[in-house]
Amino acid sequence: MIQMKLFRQAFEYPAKAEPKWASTVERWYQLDAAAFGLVEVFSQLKSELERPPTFLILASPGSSSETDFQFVQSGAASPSKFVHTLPSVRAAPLLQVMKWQGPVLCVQNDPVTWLSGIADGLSYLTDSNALVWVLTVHSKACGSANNAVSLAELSNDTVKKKFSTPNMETFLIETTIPEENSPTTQLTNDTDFWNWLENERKLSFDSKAHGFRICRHT
Amino acid sequence: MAWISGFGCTSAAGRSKEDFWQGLIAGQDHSRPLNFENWPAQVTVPVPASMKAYLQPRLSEESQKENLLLNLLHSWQQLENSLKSTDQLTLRNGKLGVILASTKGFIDDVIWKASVPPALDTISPLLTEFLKQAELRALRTTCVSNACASSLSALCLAEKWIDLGLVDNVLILAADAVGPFVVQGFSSLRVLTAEKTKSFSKDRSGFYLGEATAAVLVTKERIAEDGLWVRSVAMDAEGYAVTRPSQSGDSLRRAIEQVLPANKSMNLDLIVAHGTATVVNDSVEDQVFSQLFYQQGFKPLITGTKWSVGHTLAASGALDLIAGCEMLKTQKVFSIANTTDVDPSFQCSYLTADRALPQTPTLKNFLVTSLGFGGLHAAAWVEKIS
Repeated sequence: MIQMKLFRQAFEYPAKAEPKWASTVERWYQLDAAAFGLVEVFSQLKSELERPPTFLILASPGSSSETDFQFVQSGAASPSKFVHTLPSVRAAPLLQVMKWQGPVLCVQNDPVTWLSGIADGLSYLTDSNALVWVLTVHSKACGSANNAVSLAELSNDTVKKKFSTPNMETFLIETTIPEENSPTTQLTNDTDFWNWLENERKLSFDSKAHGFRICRHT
Repeated sequence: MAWISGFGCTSAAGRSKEDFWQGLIAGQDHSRPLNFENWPAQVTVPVPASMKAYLQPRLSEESQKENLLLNLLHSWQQLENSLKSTDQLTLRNGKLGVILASTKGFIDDVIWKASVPPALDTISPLLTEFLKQAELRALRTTCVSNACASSLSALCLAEKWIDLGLVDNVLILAADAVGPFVVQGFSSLRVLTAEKTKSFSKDRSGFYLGEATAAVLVTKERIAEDGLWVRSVAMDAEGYAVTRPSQSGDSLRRAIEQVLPANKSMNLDLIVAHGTATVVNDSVEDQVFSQLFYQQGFKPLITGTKWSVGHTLAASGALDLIAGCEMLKTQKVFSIANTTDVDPSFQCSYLTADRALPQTPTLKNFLVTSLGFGGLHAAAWVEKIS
């Protein structure tokens, strides 16, 4: 059994004031919404995180379509906008603030980018010490109610942790799905997954297409 | 344990892997003028005239999406046709994973006409359409967007899926196109050259863009006689800067160190370097190769492909992988034909245009390196097993 600690946090963009981490990221004001959100939410969350990850996945629903659109609308001549049209670029400021270096995989698989990012994260839990982060930016431009970042921390540790942060919850993941069945909800896209996390309290979520089942750690 | 059991590609050299390979060994630079008239009408910002001579045109007049899809299917057909009929059946009926590596190759058809940001990414629907038209059933699919390190990062993920037994075979697809979006973007970054792509040259001034698709089959079992074994593949990110690696090359070095044999017997025969011909990138690659190999007494041959078919972005790693595999299969090497004078500050020895190529190189292995925006780097070591 694998544990997933999930943190979700909304963020405001553009920032109304200089962020606390501004001195760490060169030209922070040029970051696009996704890059800004990742750094901002990580900064808020870091006191809750016990140790740095061994592997990091950036799962990007909608890829960088908001920035792609802005790059074109602004005349397609801005280098600072163009660089953020690559989802991998949002890793750079995040890693600077994390003060971390290591393997990073950027994936997109709409409409199941978040789900398949978690599924691939499970693949990198190769030993007892492994700790995989799956980071996802949910953008208003791509249908989310607000700009938000989710951080799924995957580990082989099944001892439930207590958190001081209200937006953090713990789930358990089964990677071998049994045939018999406790009540399950099969979901086929990220939006349903999000709704399930928000609303459902008793059912477990079954994503056979991506090879895992998830339930709340009670 | 994973094997490269087949591949196919299209590039500016033509619509086959043979065209690509023959162009490399014949020293052919396939750049030719662009025809901007066929680009989306919405483009209003003029492309600098100095670039027109060396950028790659689209391979056909269809829309970008149709063009790339057709070429991806063509790359897949080459690959499938190279397999025995029994292996074709095993592949189609077995546990298959498919990964598409791309950056902005599919965006021009959508983005210039959009009145709001597209809700879904532009790459995933292409993968769905590819699977439908190729009549392939995949147990697992995803799209990797690690910038210009996407192909090798996809190979990392493919190896992981196979190691864990999630699938038996993985088809890695890679595709990127030259359109106004990337031309405008890379132009704004001032990395496009008005000269030729002269990797590792003292007068290098950047690259021209290239358009390519590739299909590489990675299998759990060895099914091809060639015996191309992926000894190891790794990726690393440093986040040093958005568009360039750190001067120290720490992240690229770590990626390469992870794929070196455990006993450090670095009898490496050949490197297919990323070689973007930008001042910083080439310098960092030279420094890392020097520290890891040349200063240790190992002197692998170093070459690259971008001088011939341009920088094909996410597909570049797949093309470099294919070029390396062809070198192992044919025991022939090719030079960086646009480069004659290597940067005098460089420590390594490159296969330049004026250097006599070894006639009987006895190649057993090669290393491929990729450097991506965001400071994401990757390396793969492939060996020929008798």
